[in-house]
Amino acid sequence: MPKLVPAPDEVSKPFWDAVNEKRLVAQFCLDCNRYQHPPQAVCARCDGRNLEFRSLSGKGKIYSWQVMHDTRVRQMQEHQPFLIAVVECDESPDVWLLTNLPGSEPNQFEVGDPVEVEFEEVGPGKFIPQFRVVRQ
Amino acid sequence: MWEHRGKVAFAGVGHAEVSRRWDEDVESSIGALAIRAATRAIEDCGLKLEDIDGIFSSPGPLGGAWAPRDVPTSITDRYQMTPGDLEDGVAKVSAAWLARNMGFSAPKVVEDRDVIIGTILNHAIDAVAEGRCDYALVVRPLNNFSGRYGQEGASDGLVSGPNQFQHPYGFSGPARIASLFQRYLWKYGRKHEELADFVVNNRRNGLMCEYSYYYQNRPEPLTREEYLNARWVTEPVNLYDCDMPVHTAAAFILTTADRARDLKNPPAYVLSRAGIRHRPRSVTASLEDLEEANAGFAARLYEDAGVGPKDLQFANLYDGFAVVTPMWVETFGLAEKGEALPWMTADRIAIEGSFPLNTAGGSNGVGRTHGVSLHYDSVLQIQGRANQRQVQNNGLCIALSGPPPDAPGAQILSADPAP
Repeated sequence: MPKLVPAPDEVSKPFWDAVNEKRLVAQFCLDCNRYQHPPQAVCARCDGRNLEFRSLSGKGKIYSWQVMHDTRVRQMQEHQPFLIAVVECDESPDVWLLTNLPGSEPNQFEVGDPVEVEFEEVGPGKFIPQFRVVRQ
Repeated sequence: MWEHRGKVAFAGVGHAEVSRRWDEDVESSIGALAIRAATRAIEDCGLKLEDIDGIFSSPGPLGGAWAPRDVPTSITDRYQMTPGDLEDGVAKVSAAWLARNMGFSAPKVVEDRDVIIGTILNHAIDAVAEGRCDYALVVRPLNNFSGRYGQEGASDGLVSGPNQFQHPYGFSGPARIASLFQRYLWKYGRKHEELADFVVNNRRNGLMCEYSYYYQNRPEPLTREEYLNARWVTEPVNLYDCDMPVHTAAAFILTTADRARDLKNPPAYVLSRAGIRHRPRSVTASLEDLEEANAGFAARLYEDAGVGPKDLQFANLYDGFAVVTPMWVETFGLAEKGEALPWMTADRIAIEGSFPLNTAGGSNGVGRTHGVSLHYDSVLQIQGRANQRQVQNNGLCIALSGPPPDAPGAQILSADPAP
């Protein structure tokens, strides 16, 4: 079964458009000077509408992780067990992205380890961000 | 202190039988179960149908929608269905459906809120406290149909809405809870296996509880070895950390303290009630944010009640995912930050222990009633009606449903209206 492909909406389209060009961006509120992710129509903190997408370095660190053995998502069940990690981007503690940590096995990394973005093609021309542990 | 402290009380409760799934018989339809639970709760207080003037439901559906299957004619023949909503009475039960089919004449309040039981109880407590109704009936239907529970991922292979940032990675169900718990284990240097005493004790308590799925259908204890060797759902959350989906309904009656004193059971007085609604930091919730926000939630609950953690004699804290209970134990000051797991030992938390925890086994030991048993057993314990699992010191407790990242609801209950 092919993997799930994100279906962007009006608000999330700039994020996925960038990802499909292998760039990582996040929404930034010019009124309260903070990032937010996932993108929303207004700033969830200040209700501000002056939002723009800013490029991210693609660098971050692992906030938490798990080994999924029994996901409810049908399209991922054939890949079990697989890793899922929460990544905090270096630009902001408010921008977290998920990843399956390609190239890593459990117990080869720890919370706080640095990661770097790459892009996985889940459909023709359709990508999702993934992160790989940076070996030091 | 809360201006209505000790002025509202739980008067009685009622539960329908608990099965694993609906067998498509009209007698065990979710509507029939909700009526049975409500009828039992009313009778439990010695009240009559016409006394009830407030009806509250958290209607559901929980285990998934019934559509697109046809509703059996055995149901449409028996009940007055809701026009335009054939799932009402089948996959969910609204307060209006219940009022119509139980024959309530003119209730003053008929209210649906799709919230966890602790929160809808809080709405009903406020309605009684503010005089909007005298006797409130709160019903929680919990349907579970055939087939695997809560499968996700559309057949067209596309994912939209909030899930577009989660489902492509297989992040669903308990994943957000596992993420919090892994962070907790890392932050405090703890291990998953330290939960064994708690989960084993939950089954033990569940097997002493008449309204538990395990008591009614599967009277098997859980051993420490079974728990430690269980398959992972998503490591660090294993099979027995997750409550089992069940098919049942439960009901509560709330009234003013003065009225409750004239009814059949001793009142379980509400000293305080509180809730909180979290917004996740980003794609999922942060442990650090929850610790900070929930500290305020706990402080409010204690200040309104005029009591502190040291006054509690037992507690019923949400355990639908058992891994969240240590976070609640710390939130409410029963143990220091990071110290809940070594605190939750069998000798302390058992019914006969120094501080009984989850006296009916919670959702973990009863079944996935979305936290009903935490409130239900708190009432029975305070009233001294918990039979073989009755705790000795039953004067004051906290009852809480909901995992830390959602919108939990809690009460402090007492046998004394002004301790």
